[in-house]
Amino acid sequence: MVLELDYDRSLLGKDHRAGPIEVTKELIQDFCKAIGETNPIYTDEEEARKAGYPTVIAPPTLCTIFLRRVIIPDIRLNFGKARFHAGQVVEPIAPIMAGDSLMASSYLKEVYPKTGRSGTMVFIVWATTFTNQRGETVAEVQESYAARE
Amino acid sequence: MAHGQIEYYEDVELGHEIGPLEEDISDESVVDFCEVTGATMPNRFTDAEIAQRVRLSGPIVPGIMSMAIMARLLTDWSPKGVLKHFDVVFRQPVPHTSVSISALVTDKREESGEYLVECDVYLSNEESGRMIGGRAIISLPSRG
Repeated sequence: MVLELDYDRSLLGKDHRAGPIEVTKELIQDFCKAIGETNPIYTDEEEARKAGYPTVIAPPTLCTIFLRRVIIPDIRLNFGKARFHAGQVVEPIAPIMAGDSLMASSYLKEVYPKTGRSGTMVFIVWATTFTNQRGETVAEVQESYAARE
Repeated sequence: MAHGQIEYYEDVELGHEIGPLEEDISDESVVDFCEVTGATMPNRFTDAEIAQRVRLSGPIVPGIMSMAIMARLLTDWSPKGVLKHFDVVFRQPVPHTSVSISALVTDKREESGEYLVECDVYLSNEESGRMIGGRAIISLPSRG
């Protein structure tokens, strides 16, 4: 039997934005402290310059903490009650640096069912692009949420 | 370079094991992380009662925190490398506990002038097995 998914298809590809999001040295330091990161290119200006950066840069997944700045709507999926964070993809494109001002743009990328040993689940995938103050794309992120029967 | 770290693409072999990184994820470290993210607390990551209300056995580690710690294994291993891609599958919730993060090099290739190393990355512990699995691609400098 083919599962007929009902959800708000008008959301597919529609942009939801947030920003500007200021990336400060302090924020990078606090993030590093919280995850135990000690590489000095993230916390020490001189070491960052020695590595060829103008200032300290952010660890590669820091942008994920900004994802919830984007208010994403309920897609009104007619399937399952339990939802959980099923997976995530991060693609750093260019360094995010202290002093950057980011914009985040998210859209509903796809909604699809998958049947496995534990039954059918429906995956909801949101894609987010982060750009800096020069309009350069610095990171692409995809979040997958699963709805279970 | 510190012990266990690599600098150049040529130094990496297929099957090379990275780590393990042993990490004790405490209640305090999760609260610190939630503060950095600006999350409203208490929440299912910091509070047992709220976690139980959403059918979890206890407070869990935010997925993005686990992912950040997993990425740390890679940035520790190759301080001059650049993480190009990192995808993870959250197989089961991670409780506040001691975890082990390790990776295995599965491929290396030159592509569009970049020297890329691909690896499988896991977060696990003895009690629960592999709770998160992922795949990372790192660009490394080459001796040319």
